[in-house]
Amino acid sequence: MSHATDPVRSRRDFIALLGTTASTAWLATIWPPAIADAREAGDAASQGQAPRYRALTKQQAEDFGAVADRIIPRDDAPGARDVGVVFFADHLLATFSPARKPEFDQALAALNEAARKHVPDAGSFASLTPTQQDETLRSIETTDAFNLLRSITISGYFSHPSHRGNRDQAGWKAIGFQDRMSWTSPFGYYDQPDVMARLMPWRRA
Amino acid sequence: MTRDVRQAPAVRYAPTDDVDFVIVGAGAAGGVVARELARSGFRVLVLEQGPYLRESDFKHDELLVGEGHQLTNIPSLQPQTFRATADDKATRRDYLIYGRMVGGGSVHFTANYWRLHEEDFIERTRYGSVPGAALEDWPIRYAELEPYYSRAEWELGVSGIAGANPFDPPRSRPYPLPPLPIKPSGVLMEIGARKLGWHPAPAPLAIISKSYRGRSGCQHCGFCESFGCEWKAKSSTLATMIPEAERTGRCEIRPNSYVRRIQTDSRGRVTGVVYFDAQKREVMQRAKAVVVCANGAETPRLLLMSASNQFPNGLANSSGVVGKHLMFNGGAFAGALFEHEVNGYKSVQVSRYVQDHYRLDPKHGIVGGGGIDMRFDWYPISFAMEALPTDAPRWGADFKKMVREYFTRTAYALAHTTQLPQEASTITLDPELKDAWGLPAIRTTFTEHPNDMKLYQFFLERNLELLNAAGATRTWAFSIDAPWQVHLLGTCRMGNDPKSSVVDKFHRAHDVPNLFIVDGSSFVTCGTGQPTMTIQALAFRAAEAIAGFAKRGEIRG
Repeated sequence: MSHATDPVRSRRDFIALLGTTASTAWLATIWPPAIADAREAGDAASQGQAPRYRALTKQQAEDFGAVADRIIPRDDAPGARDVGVVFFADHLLATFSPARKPEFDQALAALNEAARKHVPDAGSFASLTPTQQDETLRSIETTDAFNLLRSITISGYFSHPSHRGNRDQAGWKAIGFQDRMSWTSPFGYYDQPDVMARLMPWRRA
Repeated sequence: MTRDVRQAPAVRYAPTDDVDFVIVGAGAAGGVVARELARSGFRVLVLEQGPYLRESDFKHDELLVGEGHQLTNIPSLQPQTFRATADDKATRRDYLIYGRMVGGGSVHFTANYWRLHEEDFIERTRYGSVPGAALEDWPIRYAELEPYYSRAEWELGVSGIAGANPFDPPRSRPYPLPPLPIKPSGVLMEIGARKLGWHPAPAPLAIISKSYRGRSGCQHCGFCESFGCEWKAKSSTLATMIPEAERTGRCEIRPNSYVRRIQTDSRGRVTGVVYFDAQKREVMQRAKAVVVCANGAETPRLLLMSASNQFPNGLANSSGVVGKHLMFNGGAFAGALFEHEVNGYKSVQVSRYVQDHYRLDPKHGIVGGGGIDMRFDWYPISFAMEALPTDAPRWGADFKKMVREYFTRTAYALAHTTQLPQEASTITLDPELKDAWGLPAIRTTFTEHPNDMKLYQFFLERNLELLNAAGATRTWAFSIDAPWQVHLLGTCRMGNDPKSSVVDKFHRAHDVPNLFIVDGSSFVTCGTGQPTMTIQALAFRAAEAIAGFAKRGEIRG
């Protein structure tokens, strides 16, 4: 992913735009992958507010968004922040798991400490280049702090969309999962009648 | 939580009503006992610590059942501690997972429904004394339980083919329902197992393949393990026994009722129970007899919390074995990547299994054995978190690429095995930590017997062999050092000798004539694999015996 499309900066731009006249629908046409964040921002803007987090500070949202995008970067499928993982984290820590907020705070503090160790004048993890971010993450990838951030990122990317991550089921689409109440056989390749006839000759006997 | 008003309980008992039976726990066992006793004409009150959820409360939402603990014990309210041995200081660790709702673990289980075999009941006779293990024969034999295995299959609704598994023990009736359709993982299992000379068979499941007794058949949505079934196709007690118990007009299911103590009188007879209601108010409910069906952890905990001057070591614990011999079943797990789409996320988790290694050849020098199934029991979050090979990248572009390539093309082999009973593996009351009601937390003390680890290693190798024979393009093993924390068994073992067991062969406490204990805690050995069917067969048998005692005036002693 190129630094030019760094979603942190782009979201800041969105928020600035949303404060004036732009609609999220229009924004979506200029930068579709950011639709999730834009929607959140749009909801806030329509109420005359900056996007508000219930559990995260603005800096935490930026740092967590940056690390989430290194854990699940954008490829031909959306990256973590594209599908609303930051809003998921905020939702998680405000509703399901408020008790884990101190642990989350510590994890981000550890992340920023590692960032400053790597780049002494770094303001925060979010301010590093993606390469510097990856190098920082490699230095902490076996720690509890990293595991927590990884766990929240993955949960947000693949959770039921009602929790504000996995927008438009983009995470599910990326892996070929479909949430349905009903399936019929054959379920995959190997249980198709002609394939079974070939692979399991004893069934004909 | 929503309640369907059309299913409102038909009867309400007052705390002062001296009901015939209070049943503690509305799970796999409690639901069966409640239905059987209510249908026998008794007035039954079931106290369940968890909520009364309906099918409309169930969602395909990993966060809700995981982080949200919708269907299971809630660590923030009921914290636990763990230590490996009694010499260690226990530390905060939520080690055990169990169903905490009306229907209990039968709501969220995978629904593998295996009978034990004849030799599971006589392992002491078979193996003799095994150093470090408290191996004993059961006080009952397979033949005595067989009619109740068949009853469980027909009353609850189980799908399978009698005789398809050549190692299956004798049975008096066929399965009531044909097996569910074979899945891609089942096809691969048949290919691999047959190549190895094993005998794969359709897995018996407590999930109905067709309409049965007013419920519609499985729709293959794939959310069985860890989830509740929106279709009522999983034959949980919530979908089967509980509504039938309520329809008698004699059974009240009282959810959000957390029993803290079983009361006894000066004669040592049970007089009722004290529980916290939904508002955390203490209520004394009178009863002529109590049946504890609270699971292999909560049952011994409740007995230990019910200590009194008369029962200083805990109720029904003159033997000192309440809480001892904790077992979970063992296991081993391996994964594999295949060339084409497996799509394991569709339909039930398991469609084929083998029991060729149910009792290992003595040449291996390992006690016990196990069965193996091929399955896919991941959902998108858990898959990305844990399902990839242990040496796979854990984050970044390569990680994401791998999750995307592997999700639809993997299948897993899971062995379910013996685990030996040991006196030192226990459920006790934590001396310091309290739960949200001020009650002592569950403290688990557990270390595997060396035999167990040898068994897991043996089965890990078989799993890999199977996956390779099935044509995997890549296989990987998961650590055998992470023990299971479900299947809570053995902590109030049954036996003929009051000095070494808690209940007799009809589940009556040796020390207290009007106290019965029916759940996984009754197991003497853990058996070779899946315990739920045996818990429920024992429940049918116990309920019949208890009803007989009550009718003959033999309860109060």
